[in-house]
This record gives sequence, structure tokens and C-alpha cells, in this order.
Amino acid sequence: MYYLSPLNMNNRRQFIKNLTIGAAAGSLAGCRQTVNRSIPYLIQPEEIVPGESLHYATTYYDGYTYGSVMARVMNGRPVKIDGNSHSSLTLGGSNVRLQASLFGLYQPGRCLYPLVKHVRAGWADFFSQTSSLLKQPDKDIVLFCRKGISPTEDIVMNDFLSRFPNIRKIEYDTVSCKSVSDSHNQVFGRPIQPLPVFNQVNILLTFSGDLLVSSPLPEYITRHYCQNRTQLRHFHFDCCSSLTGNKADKTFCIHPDEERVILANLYNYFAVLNRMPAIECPEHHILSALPLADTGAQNLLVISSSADPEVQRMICRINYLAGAYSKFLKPEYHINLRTAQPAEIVFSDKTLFEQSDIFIFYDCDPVTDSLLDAEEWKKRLADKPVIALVHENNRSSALAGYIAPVQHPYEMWGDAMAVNGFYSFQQPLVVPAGESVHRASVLLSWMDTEQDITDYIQQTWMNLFERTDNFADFIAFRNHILQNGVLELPVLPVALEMKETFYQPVFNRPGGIRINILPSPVTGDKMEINPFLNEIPDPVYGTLEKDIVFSNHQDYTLFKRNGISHHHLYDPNHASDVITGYYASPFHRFCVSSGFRFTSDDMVFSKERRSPDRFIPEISASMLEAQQDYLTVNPSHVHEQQNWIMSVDLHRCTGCGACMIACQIENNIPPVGMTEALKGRLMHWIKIGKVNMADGRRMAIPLLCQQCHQAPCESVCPVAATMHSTDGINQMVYNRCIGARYCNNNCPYHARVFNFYDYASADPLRENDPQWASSLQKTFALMRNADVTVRSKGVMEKCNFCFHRIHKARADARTEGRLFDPTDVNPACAAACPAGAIIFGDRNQNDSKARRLFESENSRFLLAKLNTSPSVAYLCNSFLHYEKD
Amino acid sequence: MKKIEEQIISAMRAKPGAGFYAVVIISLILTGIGVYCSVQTIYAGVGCWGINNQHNWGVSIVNFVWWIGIGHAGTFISAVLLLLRQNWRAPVFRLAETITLFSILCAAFFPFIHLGRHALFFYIFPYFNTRGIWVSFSSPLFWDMAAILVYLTVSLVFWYTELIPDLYWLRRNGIVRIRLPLFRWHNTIGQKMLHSRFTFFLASLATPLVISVHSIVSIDFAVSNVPGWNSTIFPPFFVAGAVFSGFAMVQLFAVTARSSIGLADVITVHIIETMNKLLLALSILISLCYLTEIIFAFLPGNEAERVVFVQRLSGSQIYSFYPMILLNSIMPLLFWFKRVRQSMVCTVIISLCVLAGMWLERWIIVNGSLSVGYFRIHSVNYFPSFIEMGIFAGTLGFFILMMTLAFRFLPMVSIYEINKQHAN
Repeated sequence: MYYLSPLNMNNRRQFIKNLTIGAAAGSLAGCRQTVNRSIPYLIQPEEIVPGESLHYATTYYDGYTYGSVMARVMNGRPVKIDGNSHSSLTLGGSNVRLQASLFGLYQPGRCLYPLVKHVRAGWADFFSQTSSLLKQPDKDIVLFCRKGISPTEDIVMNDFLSRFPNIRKIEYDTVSCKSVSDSHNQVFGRPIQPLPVFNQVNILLTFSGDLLVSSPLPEYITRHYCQNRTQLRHFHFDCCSSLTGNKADKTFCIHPDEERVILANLYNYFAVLNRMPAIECPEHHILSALPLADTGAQNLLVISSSADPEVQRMICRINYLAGAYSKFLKPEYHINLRTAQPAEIVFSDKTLFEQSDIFIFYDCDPVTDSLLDAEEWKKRLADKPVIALVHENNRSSALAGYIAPVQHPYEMWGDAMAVNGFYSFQQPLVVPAGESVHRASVLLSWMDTEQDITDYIQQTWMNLFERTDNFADFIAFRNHILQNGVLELPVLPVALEMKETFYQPVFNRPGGIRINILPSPVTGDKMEINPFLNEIPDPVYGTLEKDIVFSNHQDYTLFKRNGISHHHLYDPNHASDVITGYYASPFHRFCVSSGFRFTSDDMVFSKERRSPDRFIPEISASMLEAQQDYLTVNPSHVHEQQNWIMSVDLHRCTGCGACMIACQIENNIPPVGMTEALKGRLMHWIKIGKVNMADGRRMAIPLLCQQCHQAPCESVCPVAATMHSTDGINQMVYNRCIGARYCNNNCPYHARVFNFYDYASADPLRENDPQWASSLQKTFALMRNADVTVRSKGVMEKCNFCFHRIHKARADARTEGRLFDPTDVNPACAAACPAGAIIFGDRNQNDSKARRLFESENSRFLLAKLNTSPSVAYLCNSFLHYEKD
Repeated sequence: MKKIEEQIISAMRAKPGAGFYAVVIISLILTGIGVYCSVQTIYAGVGCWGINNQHNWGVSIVNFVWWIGIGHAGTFISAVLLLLRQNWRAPVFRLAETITLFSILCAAFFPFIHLGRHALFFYIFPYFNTRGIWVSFSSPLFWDMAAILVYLTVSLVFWYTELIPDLYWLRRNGIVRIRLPLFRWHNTIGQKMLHSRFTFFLASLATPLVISVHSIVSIDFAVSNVPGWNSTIFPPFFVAGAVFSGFAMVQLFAVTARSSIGLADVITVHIIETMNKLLLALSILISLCYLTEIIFAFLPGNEAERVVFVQRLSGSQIYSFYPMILLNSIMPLLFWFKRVRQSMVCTVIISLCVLAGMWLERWIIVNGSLSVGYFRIHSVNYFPSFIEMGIFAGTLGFFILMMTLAFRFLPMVSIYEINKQHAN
């Protein structure tokens, strides 16, 4: 008989047994789960209810992206940005950059304290040192800033400049539309950039550039374009593929130099009609392909984002002769965005740096925007004092001796007028980070005025109040504009008269290689360190590499010059002798530094082992099939309450990717970092795919979990971690998942994504190094939506139609004692879509729009022949062209 | 008769040579690599493998199917051939069963290590419903787990039942390397009769398992939606392939036993030749399956499957498909020649070819189908990482180590059975 007693160690075996048991018991007793304590508020703020979210209207503007937005704030932290539905400029839509703009607020590189010579200083210290610098009248001071659209800040800036006459303000824009306003100035004597409207446009001609995603107001353009898409015939002329080209009825691949010739021919067509003198130009065959004669050339609109002043000038004249200015281009509603000098021109002037003694960076990053190296900047600045007002540490602040932390757009009061007459307002969503202050209040402190920035804002808003007559008093007005975030004031109509009578453009065709630089449809004017944007595959080509060029050179090749190589992608729809690259990409920087001089000898096309991987699903049109009734072995599910469905209008979807980031931020989907992304482990629950059509065009298609009623994933899970809910949603129980990944294999749509690592606590900016607990993790955790679980390593996840929003709407209805209305629910993707392509609803609701579309004859289902009976319908008109019979 | 017993005893008594230690050290190193890679996988997550959201399963599943397949020859030889009264099996069945036992252990490791959350692997067992979580009986992965456990249990019982008389015999001859329970075996007539009936009973229990286990493994693939997996031919195809690769492994060890521990007179050329004939037959059967699969794919109606097979025949998969045809379908055809069948060198070479070919076959089934699917979500291709292949190397090392130790410590030829046959 054995006694299990520590004293009974009379032999070796017993001793070892007891020792083992003791060690095992000791180590088991030592295991303890870490306890994260949550501490309630000591003094509960009145408006904050834990778990409840508040919505605030505000405005985001960073020099390139503008948006009137509605922010959701949870427990004092903004967690989601959506378009403001009160604004006529966004109509509730948003774009990728607006959706991802929250990252800027939480990013660990935020500048928190004033720095003097890289040492933390107090504000008093900072001002005493910088004021003495500014108050030297013999010094020439240059202030760089992005194009400002805030009326209040304009006043502050003017006061500041009149107080310091030795300061020169230099406004610049990265992607500038200055050529548009310049050409209007030349042709009509008014430097404006009119706002287009697409009502009743019959023929739309777009030249070079992605109108739908890269124009100054992409949500506005997309929404209006999609609303009028059925009645207009759209022809796109470009040297490369683009999202706009994919939406057009026909895309013509032209060399950039042909643009002038085509426009000159078009001008002559209208000149003859209007008995105006024609211009001398070579003939171009494309014009005969346009249905100008069928429609009598009525209701035609030409738009180009080309920076070529000759092109813009001809477009002004064509639109004028075609009568577009009275109908489709409203001169009184002129766009204020992107009308400053392009950065390339501003910073190419070396004498500016030689003549000036002190530099101020007014909440901008000129080093990055100038596309020059930091070394070049150091040489130009030559140790002259630099004062940088920045909200995040960047390349410019690295060169500055004096750094003032200023507020992020989501932390400050302010206003903006992006289009004449359309005001939008800024209010803080969160307590400012560190010691940061309003950027204009730094100017006011230098001016030694008694007035605060809020006084200036109050004054501007008072002036606006006096121009309205709907409000009883200023308080009512202020509450209204802060609740709605926008104010639209009537403007006086403007009639344009063509000043110049004759104009002969120059046609030259220089030999060699042309470089075509366009802003990236995702990241826009900079290749920024935003993990959300970095992981959106290029919507046109599907690549993730930042350093990539496109051309029609076959084979997998690499563009090489002077030992510098860039990833190259073959695009069959690309014009020859042209290389396309994205704005601010390493290729663009290289072009700027080499002065854009290329010949074919400079290009060495060498065999590369593989072409860059593409990360967008490509499906063939035959996979979209009409639903058929098959015999089913399993009894079909009964959905007594709701049966959630989604209809996606493929004619509206432009493929901009706003839904991807909206979903990512709403559902706490972690960015995975570029290394992981290139391994094919992107975590997007909704992906933008491409439908390859028989005529060679490509249509964007959002691919999300199809919420099948006969789901292949459900039956193969060994632990019942995924199952069908009573309202038709294919649920995922993260707690049960053991990560066998069979469900994703068996999903014909590959809708599921797997947490291969602990992405939720990893650092995507540092490529998920083993040192995972980083500063980013702390700030990322603040950005999370408290309604959604954070998934751990080894768990499969997927779209659940924003189940938490459905749950919340049900709970709200219950508390308010009313019946639950399914139309209250809108998933994040549908809310973000600028085109209104995603319609969500209840199939059991007889009059719902979603049901009507779902059951219409145009609805198609992805891989319907597999009989998975999806809940997502894709609306497409049998892939007919838009052309009417 | 005496001579064979003496041979076995002298083989067991001989001092291990340098070769033994070399094999042990190499296999220990391989096992160490496997342990390191497994720990890395559990610590960091399966992200350290090459898999991605298109290729959710990688070489771990290939290795699982491969190991399970190798285990099949043991049961086939010990059970099916016992029922069929194929007496030539006597000198090799112990070897085959030991291979079965350790290869199932190796195989069972892979479904565990490929999980995302290793600590929760027990969720797949139908344990007491205290957490309100119950397994999904409709999932082939659950059937898989059940099949592997049953197979392991039956193989272990069968192996040990046959081992007991030999252990008794060894102990009587004074060779006791490891002390294993003999369950009061005294070699009486009554015990011998009971033993004979019990082995027949176990053989009839194990025979359906030869068919069922690999059928269920094939059903993991066959019930899914994936083009290239969703095929009714899979169960017989997989069983044939499993026995094929299992025989190749047995051949490898049979020839090793002949040369290294001097059992050439026990495991005769006749036995090797008979098994080579079986390999030839199975190779032809496998080739027939390949042909049937291809013909099925090109029948009208299943476009997606056709795309998969076009990839195999003339697309991205040709680098594994044609080597597989060479190794599995063409090389074993050399066994038509009697000289090749009787040559030990050729047997070893062709067995290695078959083992490599069968691994490639599973690679094509897993990777070749997943990389096509109905559509690709990205163009990143799957390539196994060092960690993944390290785990495979680890199981190989473990297997070789265990087999080497078994050769050293256990009678790898059943003296009892051989004596029984000679008595008859």
C-alpha cells in the first residue's frame, strides 16, 4: 500500500514520484490568468454612458482629402467616421482616406509636447524663443502651408501676415487643379474651378485621370455620376487603366500627347456648329467613334484632370460652345480645393531658400510633399531656423529646431468652405493629445493679441448667422450648424462670357518615354504610413507594392535606370511609350530628382522572376448566375422574424474601397502589416473583386460573406463554431473556434479570413516583430469599437452583416417600447458607400427596397449553381452595355 | 528451424555497431528540429507556416495523409493476409505492424499541430457536455478523429497481442531488454488456441478498418466543395494509394532488416518478390484511378474541376504532376522484370520512388486544388516554410528513431508465428 505523503520517501522510486507530483502541483498552482481591471469613472461625465455612442458632425481636411463627416464617439473616443448625410457635397458617402483618417488621431507618432532643439520645452519657452526669431524685421521669413479653405483661418492668417510684413505665405497643393482655374481665368477672366452636375448630361467625355476617385470631391462626383449613370453615355480617354475607365461605356487608350489633338478636333466640331473660326490641327480618327451626330451634340460635358494648361483651355472653350456652363458647370459653385500652386513648381525654386532666413511649416509636411530627399532639404535649409507646427512627427519636423504640437482636425474647432456657399464646421471629438493647441492659436500667440481662436470662430459664425434668416438667435443657429455640421448659403449666379476670341494651341509630339503621374486611388497624394490604407490593394491593378510602375511592356520585367529599380506591372490596356506611376511613389520621387528626362535607352527591361502579386479576386462573368431552384437535402431554414439580405448594384459600384476600410474600422479588423499582407493574409471581410467581362472590360464587385442558407462552411466545422442564426445570418462563434480552417477551404467564395498570428495585439507598422507589445498597441486599443469582440490568434473570422448593429437596433426598439423596424439597420459598408451601391434590408419586409431588388430579374448570385442559396444578390443588367438600343 | 531462432537471438544479442549509433543520432537531430519547429508553431501561431487565406491547408495535411497511408500496409499484411491465409506474411508482419503503430502516431500529430488554437484541440472530442459545447457530428474532421483513434487502438492491441508469445520466448532465452507485461502467458496449449482465435477475431475487426480509415481521410476532401476534392472516386483511390505507400515503406525496412541485422534467411527473396508483385498490382490500380479522375474531369458539366485538371496537366501543377506519374505509375512497372523484382537495390530505389510519389500525389491534391478553387482571391502561391518542413523532418526522425529502437529491443520477426508454421 502506498501513502501519498511527503514524509514517505523511503525509496528512490517513491521520492521521484512525490517530487514529480509536487512539481506538477506547484506549476499548476502557479498558473494564473492576468487580470485586467476596469476602473469606473470617479466623476461620471454627464453625457457619457458606457457602451452608448454619441454622434458628432465635424469636418476633415488635410490638404488633399476633404469631407464633412459624422463621427461616432464611444466613451469619449471617436471610433468611426462616416459621411455626413446632411451635406450636399458628400450625401453620407465617404472615401477610403476619410474612413482611415481616424488612424492619424491615434497614431503613436503624434507630436505631444513643444520641442526646442529636440528637447521637450514648455509653451512659454517655445514662444519666448520663436517670437524673438520672428520679431527681427530684417529677416525674410517664409511660411509654407497647404491650400487653406477655412474662412476663419484665412482671417487669422491675414491678420498675422499684416502684423509681420516680413513673412511670406506660400500656399501649395500636392495634386493641384490650378490649371483648371488658370484656364478659366484666361478664357473667361475668372479664376474658378466650377462644380459639375450630371443631371441631364447625355454625353460625358472624361480625359486622363480618375475622375471618380481622385477628383477634389470624389464622393460628390461618384454619387451624382451613379445617380445619372443610366441616362448618360460615358467615354473615357486615358493612357492607362483606371476605375473611371472601367465604369465608362467605352475607354479609348490614347497617348497623353493625343489629348490635345482630340480636343482640338472636338473644338473644331463645335466651332463649325457655332460659326467660330476653327483651329489648325491634325485629324484624329477617334472623334468619328463618338456618337456626336446621333444626339445632336446636345448636353455634352468634357472633364479632364490633366495638368496641361492647353488641354484645360480647350476644354473650357468646348464646354462653353457646347452650352455646358449654363447647365452642368456651375461657376457660382466653384471648388476651393486644390487651387494652389503645385508643390513640384513651388519647391523647384531654389532661390526661395537662398533668399529666406527663417522657415515656418504651418501644419504641413513640405519635405514629403516636395518629393525631394531630406538630404537635399538639409542642404537648402543650411541650418537656418525652422519652426514646424505639426500634429504628427514627420520628415519636416525632423529638420525643425522648434516644433509646436498642434491639434488633429478631429480635435479642433474650425470651419471650411470647400465649395463656394457650402460651409462645414469642425468641432472637437476628443480631448487634444498632450499639450497640443489649435494651429491658428500659435499664430495668435505670436501676434500677442488678447483674442483667442474661438473669438475669431465666433466672429465668423456671427457673420454667417447674419446672412441667414431661419434662426431665432445665434445660439439656435450655432446648435443647428454643430448638429448638422453644414450650412448651405445661397450664392449669386454668375454668367461666364468668353473673353478670348481665338486661340491656337501648340501640337508637339516629343519623342522618348512619357511619364504619367497620377494620384493613387487609395492613398492619394502621399504614400503615407497608414496601415489601413497601405493594405488596400490597388483598386485598378490589385497590387500592394508602393513602388510600382505600369506600362504595356510585355513579360515580367523591371524598370531600371542607374541601378534604381521599380516593380513593373504589365497592363495590356496601357498606351505604348508611356510609364504610369503613382504620385509620391518612389518612382515619382526618382523622376523628380532626375528631372523627368527619360529616353528609351534609359530603360532596361530585364526578366524578373515573377510579376508583383495581385490581391483582388478575379472572377468571370459566368459565375454570376440567376438563382435556380434545386432539390435540397437539408430542410431549409425558417426565418420567422427577419431574413437579412443584401443587394449590391454592380452598375453603381466603382470599386473605390471605402467599404473595405469602413468594415475594417467598424469590426476591429486589425491591419496585418505589409510582410503579412504580401503573404496573402489580408484580413478584409469585404474585398473588392473584378468581374472580367466578355468585352474585356472589368467591373468592380464587392465580395463579402454571402450568408448562405445552405452554407458549406457550417457543416464541416468540427466544433460547431459557425452556424445559421434565426434571422438568416451565418454566425461565427469565436470562442468555439479551434482554427482547423476547413470552413475557409469549403467556402467557394473564400469569404473567411484567419488570424494566423496575434494580429490584434501586433504592430503592423513594425512588420509584426516578435516584440509585439508596442506603443501602437496601446493607441490602437483606443480606436476599437466596444460593440465588437477582438479576435485572438488562431481564430477564423468573417463578415456577419454587422450583427452588433442589428442587435443594437433591436435593443433600442425594445427600450423605447416600439416594434423593431428593420430599416433602422445599416451595415458599415452600406453606410460608407459613396455610390449607394449596397442596399441592406429584410426579405420578410414586403415593401423593403432590398427585397424588391433582391427578387428583381436583374439579380444574380455568385456561383448559384452550387446551391448555397446566398443572401447577397448582385444586380447587373445581364452585362449589357449602358448604351441604349 | 533452429537456425532461424538462432539468427534472431544472435541479432538481438549482437552489440550495436557504429551504424546503429549514427542512425540514432541523426534521427535524434531530426526529432530535435521537429520539436523546435512545433514549439515555434505553438508559441507564435501557424502564421510561421507558408499558408494563407487561399491555401488554408498546407504540407501538414499532406504529411498527415501520407503517414496515415503508410500505416495501412501493417494492417493489410497482418489482418487481411492473415484472413486470406497467406503464410508468407509471417516474417514481415511484425515489421509492418510496428511501422503502422509509429506512423499513426506521426500522422496524428499533424491534425493537432495545424490547428490555430492548439490548447483547445480537445474541443473535437465528444467529452462531457459541461460547457454547453458539443462537437458537430456532421463534420468529416470529427469522423477523422474517431477513425484515427479507433485505428490506433486496434493496431496497438493487435500488435501487442502478437508480441506477447515472443516476449515470453525471449525472456525464457534470457534476453530481457525492456520489461513489458506478459499477462500471465505461459505458452500452454489452451493459451495458444485462444491466442490464435483472438488474433483471428482482431484481424476480422481490423480488416474493415483498412478500408474505412483512409476512406474517411479521403472523405475530408471528398465531401467538400473544392474542385479537385469533390470526387466520388476518392475513397477507393485513397485506400489503394495508402496500401501502395505502406508496402513501399515495409519493403524499405524489410530490405534493411535483411542487410543490417542479418535476417536474410528469414525474410527471404521470395517474400520481397511477392510484395514487389503486390506493389506492381497496386501501382496499376493507382494509375487506373489517375486516368479515371482525368476522364471524369473532362466529362461535360463540371467546369471548375476541369480547370483544376488543366492546371495539373498543362498549367502550374505540371512540376509535381508529371514527376508523380513517373514515380508512381512508371517506375513500379519495372517490377514486370523478374530480375528487378528480386534485386534488393532496385526494390529500395523503387520503394523510395513510390514513397516520394505518394507524397507528391497528396501535395497535388491539397495544394493543386486549393490553389485553383472557383476563383483566386490573390495570386500569392503557397510554398511550405522551413518550420513546416521541419515538423515533417521531425516526424521522419521520430519514426526512424522508434523503428531503430524497435529493431534493437523487440523481436522484429515473429518467432512464435514462424515456429507455428514450421510445426504445421
